[in-house]
Amino acid sequence: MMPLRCAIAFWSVSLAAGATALAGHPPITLRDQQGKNVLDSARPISTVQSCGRCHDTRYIATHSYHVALGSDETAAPGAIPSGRAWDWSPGPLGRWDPLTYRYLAPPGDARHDRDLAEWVSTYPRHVGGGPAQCIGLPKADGVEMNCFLCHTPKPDNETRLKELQQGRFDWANTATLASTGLIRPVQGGWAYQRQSFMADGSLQASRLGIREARSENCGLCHGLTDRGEQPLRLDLSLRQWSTATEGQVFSPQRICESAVNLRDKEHLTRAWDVHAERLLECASCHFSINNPAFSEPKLGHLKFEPRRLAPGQYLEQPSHQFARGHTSPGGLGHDFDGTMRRCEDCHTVAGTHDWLPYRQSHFARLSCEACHISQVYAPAVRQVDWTLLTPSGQPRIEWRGIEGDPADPTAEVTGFRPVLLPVQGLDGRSRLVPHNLIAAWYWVEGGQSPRPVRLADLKAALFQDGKYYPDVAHALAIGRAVLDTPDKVEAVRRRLKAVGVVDPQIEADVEPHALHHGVGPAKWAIRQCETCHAADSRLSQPFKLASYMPGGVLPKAVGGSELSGDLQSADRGLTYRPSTRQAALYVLGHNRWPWVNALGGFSLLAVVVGVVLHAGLRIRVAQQRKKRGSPPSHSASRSPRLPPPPTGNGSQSASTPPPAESS
Amino acid sequence: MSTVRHQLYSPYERLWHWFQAVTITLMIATGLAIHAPGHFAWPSFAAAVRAHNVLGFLLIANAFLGMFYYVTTGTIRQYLPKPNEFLSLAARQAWFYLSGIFRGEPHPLKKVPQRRLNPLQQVTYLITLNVLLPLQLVTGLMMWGAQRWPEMLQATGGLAVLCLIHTLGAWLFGSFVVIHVYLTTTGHTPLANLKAMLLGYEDVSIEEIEQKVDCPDFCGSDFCRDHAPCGARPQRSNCPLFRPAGDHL
Amino acid sequence: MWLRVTLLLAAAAPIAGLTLALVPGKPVPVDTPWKHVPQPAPHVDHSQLITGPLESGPAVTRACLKCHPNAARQVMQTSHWTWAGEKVKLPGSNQVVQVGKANLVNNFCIHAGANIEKCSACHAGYGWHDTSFDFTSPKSEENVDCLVCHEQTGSYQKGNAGMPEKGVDLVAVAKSVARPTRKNCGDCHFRGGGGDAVKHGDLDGSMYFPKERIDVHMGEAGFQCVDCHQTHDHRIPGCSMSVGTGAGRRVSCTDCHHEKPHGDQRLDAHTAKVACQTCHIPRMAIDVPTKMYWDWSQAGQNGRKEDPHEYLKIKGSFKYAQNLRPEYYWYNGNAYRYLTGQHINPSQVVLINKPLGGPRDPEAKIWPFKVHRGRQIYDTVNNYLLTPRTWGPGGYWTDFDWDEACRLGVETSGLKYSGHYGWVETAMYWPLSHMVQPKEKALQCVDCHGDRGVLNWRQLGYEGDPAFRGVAYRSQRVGGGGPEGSR
Repeated sequence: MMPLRCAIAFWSVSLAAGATALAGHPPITLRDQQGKNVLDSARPISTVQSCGRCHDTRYIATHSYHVALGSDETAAPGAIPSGRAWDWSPGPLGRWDPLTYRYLAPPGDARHDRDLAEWVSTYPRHVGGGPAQCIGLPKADGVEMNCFLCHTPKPDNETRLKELQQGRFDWANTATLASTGLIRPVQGGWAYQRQSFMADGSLQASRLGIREARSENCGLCHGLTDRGEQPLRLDLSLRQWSTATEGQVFSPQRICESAVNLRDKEHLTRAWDVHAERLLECASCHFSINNPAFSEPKLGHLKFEPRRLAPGQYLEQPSHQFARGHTSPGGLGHDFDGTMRRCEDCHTVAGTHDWLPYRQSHFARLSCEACHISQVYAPAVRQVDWTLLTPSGQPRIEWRGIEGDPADPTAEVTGFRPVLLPVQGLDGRSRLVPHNLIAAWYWVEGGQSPRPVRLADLKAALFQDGKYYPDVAHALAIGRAVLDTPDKVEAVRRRLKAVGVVDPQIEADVEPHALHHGVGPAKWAIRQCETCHAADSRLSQPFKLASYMPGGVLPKAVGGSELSGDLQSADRGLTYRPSTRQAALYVLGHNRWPWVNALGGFSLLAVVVGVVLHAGLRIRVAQQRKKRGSPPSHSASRSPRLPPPPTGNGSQSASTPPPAESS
Repeated sequence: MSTVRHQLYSPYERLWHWFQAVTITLMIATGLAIHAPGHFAWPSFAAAVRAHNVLGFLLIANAFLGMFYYVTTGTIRQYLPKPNEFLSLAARQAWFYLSGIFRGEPHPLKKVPQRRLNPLQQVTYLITLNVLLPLQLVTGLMMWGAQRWPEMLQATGGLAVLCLIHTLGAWLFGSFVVIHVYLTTTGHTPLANLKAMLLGYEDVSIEEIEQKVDCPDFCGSDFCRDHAPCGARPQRSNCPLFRPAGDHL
Repeated sequence: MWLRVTLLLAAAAPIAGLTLALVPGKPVPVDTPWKHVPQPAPHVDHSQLITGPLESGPAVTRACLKCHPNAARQVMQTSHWTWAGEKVKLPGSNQVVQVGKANLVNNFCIHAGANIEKCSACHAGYGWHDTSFDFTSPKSEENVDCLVCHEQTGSYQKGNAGMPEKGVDLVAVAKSVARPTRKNCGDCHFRGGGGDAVKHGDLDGSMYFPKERIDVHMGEAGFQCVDCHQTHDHRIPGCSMSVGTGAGRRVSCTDCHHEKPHGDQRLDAHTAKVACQTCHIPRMAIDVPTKMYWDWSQAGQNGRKEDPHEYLKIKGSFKYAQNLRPEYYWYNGNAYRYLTGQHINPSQVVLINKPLGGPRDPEAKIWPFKVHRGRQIYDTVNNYLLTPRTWGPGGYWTDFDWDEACRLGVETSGLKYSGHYGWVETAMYWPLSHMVQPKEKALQCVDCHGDRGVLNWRQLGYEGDPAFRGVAYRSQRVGGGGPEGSR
């Protein structure tokens, strides 16, 4: 092992650069769980054994929230900060998500929706290891952390997921190599193509293409990332997670060159994301927390910290805790909140924002994203309704930013303007950050420990032989096939009770999803003052959440961000109306005190009316007098006597005769 | 009948006044564009803010220069009501506006250099210049300085409070301007007061002057005001400043 | 007096302040290319000035010269007439040569020489049948073809030896003369090599009336060729390295545009080493496919399907491509040029004109090229490219006999033909300057840098992608920076 470690130390790799694959990676031997060469044993590849000969895989597995997914931070249901009443972990492991719906019950809980094995086989966004490996699985050894998924150029995630779905957990990581030509499917597993290996049974690293994780690797779980070679397509499925929840696309391709049927596309000559266009990778900002190339002095008095890991040490024990922001719902890896490179860590504002008046005020109240992610060009989920499944057993999902059926490729994509919500930054200041809001409605069973009605129960309650139960169908026959009237709600509630659900209630929540990607070039940022400083300010534009409210239930905010506005139902739908005042903002040109204007306007009006009356009267009197030809009346007899003024210095007696007319 | 031409407003006073007038008008206009952007084709919000800020500083400078002038020359006394006579004089003035003016009665108080403001004017200008204007200038300055000294802004309740005061003040200023402009037409001719503020002088009949003070020989000059009344009673011929009206030209 | 001063002062001060406030801050330097675009004087209507009858081309020229006595003399100084450049020292040697279209070899129709009667259909003159043509004497002034550049009817056609085709109404044509348009230039320059878009990757028939997406200057702004190629005394600046070594006055983007026009530090930094054309001509041959490969060795095969874009019996097989990324090489404005009769190494690709320059050359920039590759005939004993006669009696297109074509061909070019011929790979470089596309289509970072980038950084002389490695050149001995191949 020592010589290999030395080899690591001498690799001349550019740790920060993402230009080329790691040319210096030595040949590797693919080993099974017992450490034997898989060519000999024909057993599944163990990444822990294969990569672990040089890299400290134990260290990596224990320093990775991607592996743990919250399994190391579990708590009693309801005790998770900013979680729902039945969440028992901050990560996808025990945090219920209204989009994916299915719930992994806490250990020891009898009434569970799915067990860990089922979770591993159905949750598509886990890299393996951690809970998938550590918690004893009945069927197999478990799934090791999948190094290939992130560190090879063309991992076959689909095949991996198929293996997981079929419960062949041990083969899942091996199957990730399906598109490399190193393996071929055989009955019950995979066989290795010996001719692709070297004579000594090892494998050239270039054959696997081992390299640092790139954006497209991240995109396998996180959303649409793309190198822009082919016209980009939108999937509009939850598989592209952040694209679905936030409308974000990380691609260097010009939007107008994509295959998306976008409105006014020919004018959208910017890249989907300017950082992708300028050769940044996800890891450029979300770097490994102990990568020496990215380490920065933590003390204010130092500009540079020469004491850092040597590249060799890093390659042996690369932390897989990645620098992260602090706004994502779910709140996994809170220990690393704010470790990532944010806009201001790379960009200076001097010279670029000189044109902006009241710079400090703006920067104190607005995130960079507020102006630089002014428009989202991909659709995103707006409403999820689990209260009534469609006949195909799916929830009803509405998308924003698209006109027409999302499944229809000719539907016109319009994109959307994100809504601005205040988010407390790491410096303690609240700044407006663009968000997408997703409203979800679902049945919750009551009792001591409330939780969403199990999907199986829901299906059993609604369907008989693949069709709605007659009473449900009867209730749905009037109007839309959604639970928008008490009758329909009652029909489903009765059915749920009939299958044994205790006290079923419809609950609803709104989850804010902050946008940080899809940044456009500077010229595309908001520059017009009137965008915000106007009566129809962007800061208070209404944001539609739903076209109907199942059961008439008004959703509550979850996920840490406070909504600074009001949820208003209009046309049976639901709209979020942000309020600058609730966000503790007073925006010149937008905010007003209505009573001040009323009072001021009234005083001005009163004055003007008074003046007009006074002037009119004066003119009238003067005209009458002229008609009569009488001189202006000075005579004491016709004017009421004023009380004589107190005589004193400078005062004038009223009784003195008036002066002669001088004009 | 002989008239005397009184220097009612010194050149600096007129300069000060008209500077004030133009600046405040422009500030009201730009302020409106900031208050309700989008309702005006011009100026844009950014331009209005910039202009409003510059004008604000000009106004502050003018206010301080004016104050310096009025204090050092003693002209400030024009604005100070005399407590013993104020109430009755104010009442007479108010009654004049409500009634006498329609009958063509003369102003209860004649406009003379030593007292060119009636008590209502005195109190209005006192409030406008010493309460309203400073309030606007201070709140405006704080809004301008919001980004330099955010703590100060926080301490005063933020923009919401400042804007409330500032907007209210702006409305009052607007109202003041309307009344002020209207009342200039209540001189012995509708344009007399305006002319006086433009030209600086007014022709006043000597009789008028003489009636105004106890001193029968009062000529209306500062010298006369300062030295003559009640005390020494100098003769008109003694007064070095007195000149018959015709001599002024 | 006081009244005026007071009013003036009182009103002027706040208004001056207001004006100061409203005037925007320091002005941003703006690219003002329109300042440099010529505003031609309205052309004199010649329809009343020209009277017939005009029986021949020279007769027209005589009529022109009555009023423009110097015009023919000026034209006779230019390469449009001489088909030869200035006398220049060959780059890298002391040899002084005068090369041009008349005496060079290319890898399209190979050589004018023995085929001149056909080739000179694009000569700005009348009667170039053979070597006896008089280029210099005043007598020949009447052979200058004014019409090809100035006529505006669109009906003027030139035939063999540059003579007007029969049936052209010379009087009508002569009456129409005016400032040259894209059509005048394009009829020869768009169709070089015997058809539309054959030679240049950036000049083809789509440029007669180009759309904005093809060429912003000629499309959106309606430019004529001579708006950029501003001509004095009939000398037209601009010089392609296909018929010379690059000497001569050039037309440059910076004739009109600011040198750092982007308002973006990163992009402006690129202008030191990257030609404007590189990013702003992201693709060439946008609408009309251009010839990329020409294999003469396949000519003469009977029974193959004839298709001007695939195969012609007289010419061999071709490859055409459309809307494609150019290739990128260092180019300092000069080119190495293969001279007729120069020895070649038949085991390597013969670079007929190689762009010169490298990363350390302060004049050189990375420039986009169309590279036309081909296989053409050479003398296997003497090891030089042969100049076969293709057109006319005994030419290859008539008899399909290479041996005879070469023997006839070398008579004009002055080479010796050993009687043994073979085929050698050649490449010809065509720098791109036209088809400047809207800025929204310009290359982006990822088009050159990173995984997706098409630039071969090591071949260009860098240690690797400079976006990641900074500007670091390979050792001078290793990296030439130019295209590889034989001279």
